[in-house]
Amino acid sequence: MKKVVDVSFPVGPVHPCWKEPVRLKCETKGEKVLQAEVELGYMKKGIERIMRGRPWQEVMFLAERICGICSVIHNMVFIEGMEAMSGIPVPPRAAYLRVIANELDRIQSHLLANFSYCYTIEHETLGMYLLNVREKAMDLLERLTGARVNKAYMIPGGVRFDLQAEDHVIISSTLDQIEPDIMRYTRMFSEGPLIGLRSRGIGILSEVHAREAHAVGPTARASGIRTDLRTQHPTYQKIGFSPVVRTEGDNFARVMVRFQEVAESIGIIRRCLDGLPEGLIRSGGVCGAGTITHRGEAPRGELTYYLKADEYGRIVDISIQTPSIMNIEASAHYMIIGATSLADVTSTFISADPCIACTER
Amino acid sequence: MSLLQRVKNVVRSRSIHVCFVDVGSCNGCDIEVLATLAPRYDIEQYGIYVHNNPREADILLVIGAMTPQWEDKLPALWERIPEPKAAIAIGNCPISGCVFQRRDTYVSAPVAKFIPVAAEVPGCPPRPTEILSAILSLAPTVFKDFEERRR
Amino acid sequence: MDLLYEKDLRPFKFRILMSSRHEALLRALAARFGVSVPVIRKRMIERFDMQLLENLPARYEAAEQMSEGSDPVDKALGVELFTRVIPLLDPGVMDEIRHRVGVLIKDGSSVEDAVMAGHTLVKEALFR
Ligand code: SF4
Repeated sequence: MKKVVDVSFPVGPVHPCWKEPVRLKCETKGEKVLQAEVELGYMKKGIERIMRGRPWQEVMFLAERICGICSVIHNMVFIEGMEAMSGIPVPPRAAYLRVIANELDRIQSHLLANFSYCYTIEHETLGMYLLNVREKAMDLLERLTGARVNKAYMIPGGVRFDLQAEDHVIISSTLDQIEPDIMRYTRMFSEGPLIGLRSRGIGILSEVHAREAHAVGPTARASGIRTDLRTQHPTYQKIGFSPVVRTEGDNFARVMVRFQEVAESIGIIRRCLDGLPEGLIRSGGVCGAGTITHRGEAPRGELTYYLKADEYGRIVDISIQTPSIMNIEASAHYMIIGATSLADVTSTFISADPCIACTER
Repeated sequence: MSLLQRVKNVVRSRSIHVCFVDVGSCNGCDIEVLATLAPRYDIEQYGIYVHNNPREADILLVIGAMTPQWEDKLPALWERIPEPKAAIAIGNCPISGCVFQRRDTYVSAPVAKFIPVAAEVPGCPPRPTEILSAILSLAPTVFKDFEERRR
Repeated sequence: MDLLYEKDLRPFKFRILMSSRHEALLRALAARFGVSVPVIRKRMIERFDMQLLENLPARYEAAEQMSEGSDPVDKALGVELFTRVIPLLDPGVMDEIRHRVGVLIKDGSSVEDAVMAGHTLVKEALFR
């Protein structure tokens, strides 16, 4: 990119605030950021290239390992894409269980993102509270799917494990425990005066810029764009929910959107558990040939799989567009510009919930 | 054993600084390392401080399958860490490349080709408790009587 | 001094542009200007940082939805497209081309001819 001034301030790749390696080069005048450039390549594993020519049984595990934080949704979108391509029906009970797994995953992902933000603005107390609640959500996920991070819970035509009667009770009682905690932490965040000073009015992403960079997920919803692909998903339509939208577009709004979505997700899981249909969880089916573009709402936003398979269920061509690609771009090229202090650069970048493993695949 | 060495042993057993570096993982092991910070596992009660600053670190946690960008940078980063030091490979990725070590890949596992790895914690990902116990059981063997043994 | 982190990033940028969606985008742009794909790829690698390169297909799609209802001459020339969505051109250069096309239309040449002339100018500016 073209240089504006000669002072460039590099952040990363190994940085106390970054969970993953990424290098951000900010061109600054005083402490004001004029332009920022992102250097990637630290995580490029070439997953799309590995996937080509492999049967879906292998691609399924590779798809999960694109991102460990939101592995459920990668699994879900890939499997649903294969199902839609080859016309495999899903039993209603399995469809509900998928939603439960996905929402639990969203809860833990959002809590982790908010932990990172609190940690970055040096509010470690709230960060540790959030990390503690997250462990409870992880326990529920483990109970439901049998693993903590890479679960491989969904398979074409259903899910792998059923929900036992006792799990039902444990999930709902744990949710009852979590909910007041989340409410309390949300209040702590929204009313904390020092948090407000570090977050309100900083890193503003206007709606025009959000549309230009095609921002998605909580980042877009915090800028007043009403987009949530869950509204188009048949199971979610049956359960019913409304997307959280805020209009401020600053760091504060992005974190608050995530807090409110956690509460929304708890509601969705409760309604799922109440209306859980009886019946099979696996109905079987054969994956066949086809081409499809399948989308789903990941914790960070819209996730798209462009799939092409041959008649044996082998993946011929695949291209994956993850939400972090758009959100990091919005954050590096619009939010950070004009930041008046370098301390705000890290917090603004983290507020968009960047996931480098997704971005580079 | 000299008095100085004894003092050093005591101090080092309760103060271990950890730096983690991600050399091309799926993020799964990263968040399990982060989870060890959570009050449930509470890594700090053992005197371990996750710092992410190589120049202050005692133990380097390597996560991931070694992407081309890191091939020259990881050995350089290893040089920056002051003695005594040790590297622990977390997860299957640094040990074998996990699912990424296939045809057409960009990664070049294992990490042991580039820096000396003292311990390995297999798993995809390993549980936070396993990471914690690996650090705790490796630390005494590396740090105890370090100066006397070297002489 | 040996700057470890200031490496040549071109091979890494090239790898980003190799995915099938980027390939499709590059081919569309190459067909638009009648040049070969490597020429466009080289321009992009020179001008863009890595995150923008990753985001190009998504930006392009978003722009196609947004540009509905905008001025047809602007759309045919790609005024928005090449200054904001895929910023291959500086806004000043593009403004001048747009201005010259406007003058041509005012002077009585048909819209198609003017757009064709503008298109050639854009191509010249891009691949000088
Ligand atoms: S070992 Fe497994 S969980 Fe850990 S980084 Fe590698 S693929 Fe991810």
